[in-house]
Amino acid sequence: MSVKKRWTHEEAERVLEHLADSIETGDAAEIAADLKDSGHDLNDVASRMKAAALAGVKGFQQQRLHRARQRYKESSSKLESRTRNFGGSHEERRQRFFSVVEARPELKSALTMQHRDLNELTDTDIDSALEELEILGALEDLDDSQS
Amino acid sequence: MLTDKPQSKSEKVATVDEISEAIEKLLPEEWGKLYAYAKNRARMMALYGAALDAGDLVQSAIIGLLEQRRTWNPKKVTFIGVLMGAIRSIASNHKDKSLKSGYSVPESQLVSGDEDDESETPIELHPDSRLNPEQQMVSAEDEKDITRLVGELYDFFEGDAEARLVMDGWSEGLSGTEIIEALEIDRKGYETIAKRVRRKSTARWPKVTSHVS
Repeated sequence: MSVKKRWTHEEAERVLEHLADSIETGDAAEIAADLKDSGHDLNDVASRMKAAALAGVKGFQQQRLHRARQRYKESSSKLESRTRNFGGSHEERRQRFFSVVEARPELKSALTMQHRDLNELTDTDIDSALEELEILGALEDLDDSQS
Repeated sequence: MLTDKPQSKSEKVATVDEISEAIEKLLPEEWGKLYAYAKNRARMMALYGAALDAGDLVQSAIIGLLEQRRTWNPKKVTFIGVLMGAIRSIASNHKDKSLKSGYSVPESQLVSGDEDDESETPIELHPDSRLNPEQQMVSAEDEKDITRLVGELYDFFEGDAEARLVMDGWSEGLSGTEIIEALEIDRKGYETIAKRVRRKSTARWPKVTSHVS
């Protein structure tokens, strides 16, 4: 009587790897015939696999829709927060910007590297600079020190 | 050719329409082949704690293609080819992540230290501690079942010395070419033996079931 080989995890994995190669390079009709011979209903297998593939397409579309909704939500709240934080006229926002820069000289050097002359900043530049300063927390610092 | 990033105009990311059309065009035989391949890879992933079935892998491969993690040049690679490539990548990435997360196989089994490519996977991977109770149960059964399945496959070929020698070579990590040289057979002969083992291995697989609810 022969001794049974004791299979390890690693050995089993290697065998499966070679079987995968054989399937990958194998003829689809032959493999389908093997499946049928082993009692599989090929049409059932095909329809289940097709359903899984179509579920993948649907899943992707739903994810895309979800992300679009998420982006819309984020941009809406960003817009709201900008309106809330940077309210007032262009002149008031400009004044606010310079107040922050005066209070934080280290920011001034960083900003002059970007823009050379801060006095030449356009209203749009001011808004986006305020946005960056908000991300850095510099606006909160200023608001805290003023309150 | 399968790549993670588009390399040229011909290797572009497939659109939803192109993928949907390709799905509709696949023949039942091709779905059968894809099932056999995906089932095999799901088994390998189960060795590293995954509780997935063939359908889960096919679904993830499609999402990966559409999410632009993969490119597809239909002139060079068939649809089934690109899907098998994506599934292979998902499986090797799962193994890599499982090993990095400290996943360990049962004491009676050895752990492979191999690591594969690091491409992204659309599947949330499941080292044992992260599985829900149902998945843990399925996973635990699968890990034991898979080594047993390979053992049973080997036992089946008791009277077929060639098949056993080829399986011995596989289990020892030899390549097909090394086995051909060692056994002094030609490639066609080797492929015929491999096909014999493959055919029997498909018979050992259960019919399509869903492990993940």
